[in-house]
Amino acid sequence: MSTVLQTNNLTKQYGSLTALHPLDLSIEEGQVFGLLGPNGSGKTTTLGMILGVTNPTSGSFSWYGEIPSPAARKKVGAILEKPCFYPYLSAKKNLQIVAKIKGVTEDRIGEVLQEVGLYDRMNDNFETYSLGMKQRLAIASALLANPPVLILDEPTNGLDPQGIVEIREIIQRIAASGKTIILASHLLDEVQKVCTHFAVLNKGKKLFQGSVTDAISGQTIIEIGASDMNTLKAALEKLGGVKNMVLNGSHFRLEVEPEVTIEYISKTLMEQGITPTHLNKNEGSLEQEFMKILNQHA
Amino acid sequence: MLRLFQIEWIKVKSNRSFWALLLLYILGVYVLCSIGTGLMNMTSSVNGEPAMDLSTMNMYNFPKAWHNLTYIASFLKIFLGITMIVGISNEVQHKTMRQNIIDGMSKVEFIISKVITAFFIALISTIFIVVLGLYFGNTYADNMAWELVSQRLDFVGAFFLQTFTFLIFSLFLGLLVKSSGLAIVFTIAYSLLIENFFTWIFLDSDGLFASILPMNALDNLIQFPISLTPNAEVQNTVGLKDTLICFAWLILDIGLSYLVLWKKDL
Repeated sequence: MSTVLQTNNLTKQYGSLTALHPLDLSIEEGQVFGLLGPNGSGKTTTLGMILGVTNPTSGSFSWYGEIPSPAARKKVGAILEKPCFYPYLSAKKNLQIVAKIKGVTEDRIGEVLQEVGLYDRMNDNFETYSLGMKQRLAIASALLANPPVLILDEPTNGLDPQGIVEIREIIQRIAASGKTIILASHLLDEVQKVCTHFAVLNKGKKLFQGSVTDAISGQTIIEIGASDMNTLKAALEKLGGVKNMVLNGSHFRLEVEPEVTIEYISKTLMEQGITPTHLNKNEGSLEQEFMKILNQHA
Repeated sequence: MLRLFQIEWIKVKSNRSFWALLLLYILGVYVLCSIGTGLMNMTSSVNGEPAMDLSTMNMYNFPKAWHNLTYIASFLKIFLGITMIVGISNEVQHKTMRQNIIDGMSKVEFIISKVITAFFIALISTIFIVVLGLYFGNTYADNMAWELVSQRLDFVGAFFLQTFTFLIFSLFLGLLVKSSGLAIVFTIAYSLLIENFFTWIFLDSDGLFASILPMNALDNLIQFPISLTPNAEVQNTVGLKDTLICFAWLILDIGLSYLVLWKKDL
């Protein structure tokens, strides 16, 4: 497996604001890499730099071990922030421009439009498209030169549930074809469903990088609530097998060993005269892992 | 180069506001340049008698016609400048310029593609002025002998250089000032007011420093074609020094455009 993208101390400063603290990121071939973080955490800044449109304050990056160049960008299909096309041109003409820039033939225009379900609308102007269609056109455009790497920045932003599902299915299809995908998102669910690896950014700092499977496996969460939270807390603190406990709204979230069962907990609480009003067990999800990472660094 | 031209052609071909502005310019030049026909009619009959010698008033007589027409048409180059600024501002506002770079265009290539567009706009306007000159000449000139028509064609060349340089100046301002409205206002204000004002107040208007300011440099290429006082000399040929200054601005504005793009986060 070869390294697709490598950043070394990549840093961006806007005046006194550090938008991105020195970032070391390594993305391997075939990964579907989620760049996860709240809005304003530095995701788009990072992508802007690796795409050559934002000047790094310091640090460097390389594509396939090579110094960044326009030629290297031609091997990457990317959208940044939102779909950017000429509003008065049709989808077809917009893609003709992309083909000319990338130096590829126009043969694949029909194919990629078919892929995202816009074939019938290809002669309509971009400005007449709905947001979901614009996002799909952006993906088609990124796919046009059949690049080994795709960068998608918040591809489902602002879409209705149906649009989100459509985009997700397209991304999953592309991922299955073996391409490397870098997906920036603040939607944990989206990253969990699509990505193999992820990194967490917050306030311009990388907090974590790892594989999605590792992060969510072996993690069991039990949510529990009672009318008297104080006695509940005292009882739970004595419970065995609890790794971590936090108050989350009207209930406690317990991170427990996989052996801890609901049966065991409810039995223990009953013995102490506590009746749970809320009891729920979750196998791990990225959302919990993400909250944990953010809390650890808070 | 051909690739960049093709890209620009796709962008421009279906852009209605581009063609509307170009048409407006063409019509404007036609109307302004036909002013001489009106003058001829006005002066030809005062109380039923010829008031003036018509042959000296006929602005369509060659070789002087090239100077007259290019001088008049140069007033309308602001329309072409606006066309350029609108084009650039759209690329900035819709972030298509950024997307072009992301897709693999270099910043240098982007500038070159815009220079190509400016070149062709200047070429179209120059061809139009030649066609217009021949048409008006054919209709109104006393003599259309080739020896006369082929003289002073340097004014046509100067017209091209002037238009091209002004378009590149607009390109630079369009890139520098992000909002198109502001860039247009600034371009009009600068080319019509600010520089003239600055020259009158602070500089000797015939001095070297005044002659190298960008708008003065453009104006000096094709100067006022009529002598207002009997002894004043009228320009017969385009000055070499003025041409060189203009060229220098052309190169400088291209360089500055690149500098803006290079420095800026898109």
